[in-house]
Amino acid sequence: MTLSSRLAASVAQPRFAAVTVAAFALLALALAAIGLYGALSYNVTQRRREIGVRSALGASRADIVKLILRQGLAVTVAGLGMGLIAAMGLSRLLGKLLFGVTPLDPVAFLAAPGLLLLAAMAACLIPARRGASVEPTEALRCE
Amino acid sequence: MIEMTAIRKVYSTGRMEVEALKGVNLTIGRNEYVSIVGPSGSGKSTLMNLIGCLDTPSTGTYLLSGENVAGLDRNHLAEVRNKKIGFVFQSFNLLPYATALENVALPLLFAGISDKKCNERAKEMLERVGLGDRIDHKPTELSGGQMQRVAIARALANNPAIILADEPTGNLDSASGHVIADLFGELHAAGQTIVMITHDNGLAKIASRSVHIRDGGIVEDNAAIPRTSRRRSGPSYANSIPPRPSIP
Repeated sequence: MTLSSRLAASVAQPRFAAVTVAAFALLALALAAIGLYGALSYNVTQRRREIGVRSALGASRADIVKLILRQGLAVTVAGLGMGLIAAMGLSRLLGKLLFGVTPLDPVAFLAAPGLLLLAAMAACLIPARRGASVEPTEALRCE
Repeated sequence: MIEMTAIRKVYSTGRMEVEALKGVNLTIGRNEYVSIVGPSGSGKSTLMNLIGCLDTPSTGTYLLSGENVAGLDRNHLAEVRNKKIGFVFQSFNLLPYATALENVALPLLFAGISDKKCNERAKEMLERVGLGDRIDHKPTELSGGQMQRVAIARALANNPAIILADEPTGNLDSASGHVIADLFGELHAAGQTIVMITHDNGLAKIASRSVHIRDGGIVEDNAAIPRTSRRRSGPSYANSIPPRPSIP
């Protein structure tokens, strides 16, 4: 058995655990993005008339996109805040499992929320663009 | 103020084409009070959408305050609506979660006015329509007539060139309808140009000019009575409708 294969065998278990945790983290990220997309899409559908009214009163496409993005990102930022506080509290438990990084590693604590924020923005953008395409005549649809 | 020439609007539904407006010519001057009357399907809603820059004509020219708005893109049309047109809808279209003040401030916010000035102007407009004591009320806490007055305050917020009202008394009881009709009369007397879409003949008669539309074309344009004399002593809504038969 070569030295490299011995080394690989010795770290196989923690590596498998790390890969599994990373896969679950990616799955959680995807689910969060899909959930946010679904909730915002539903919200835009429910608010078509209101968006039509705003548009009739002079809101530009950018105003509508901002309105919907703001709503989606407000939820995201609140979730990120709570998540970061929880992560800081729980990071002590991970201390013994980490090697070469501190439990409060600033890169990890910046990269993870940053990635989540990007995923959330991408998820919000589709419903926001759909909302911006609502015609102002929608305000009169039920008249 | 409004100059529409040879306006056509064609809707395509699959292979079929429906011509909703067939070459409409309409000119409305400053300070006029015009009612547009017509049966369902006559094209009056299409005409309202075009006058209000909510939609663009298929062909023809539309000059609003001298600006050709027929070929503008969506964002420019939004700007025109925001600055030149005040909408009053049949079902008020107020944001249910916002207060009267916030509803009135909405078009001002879209115009890029600061929050402080928005609130001052919105309050001023609510006082103008007699709702100065209701600024913090949400639509659910207001009567139908009050909601429509909030909508009128919102329409006036940006000091628009025209007020465009779509069946403004359609969802109101007769007493509230009279209040709203009289408010429109006061606004007109103060120099506001008003275009009102209605099928209520009583309401149409208080306007200084009635434009009748049928099958996508204007069939009658009644501006026989001099507008100035109407403005000074215009008929009230109450006098324009026949008395209701008494119910035994």
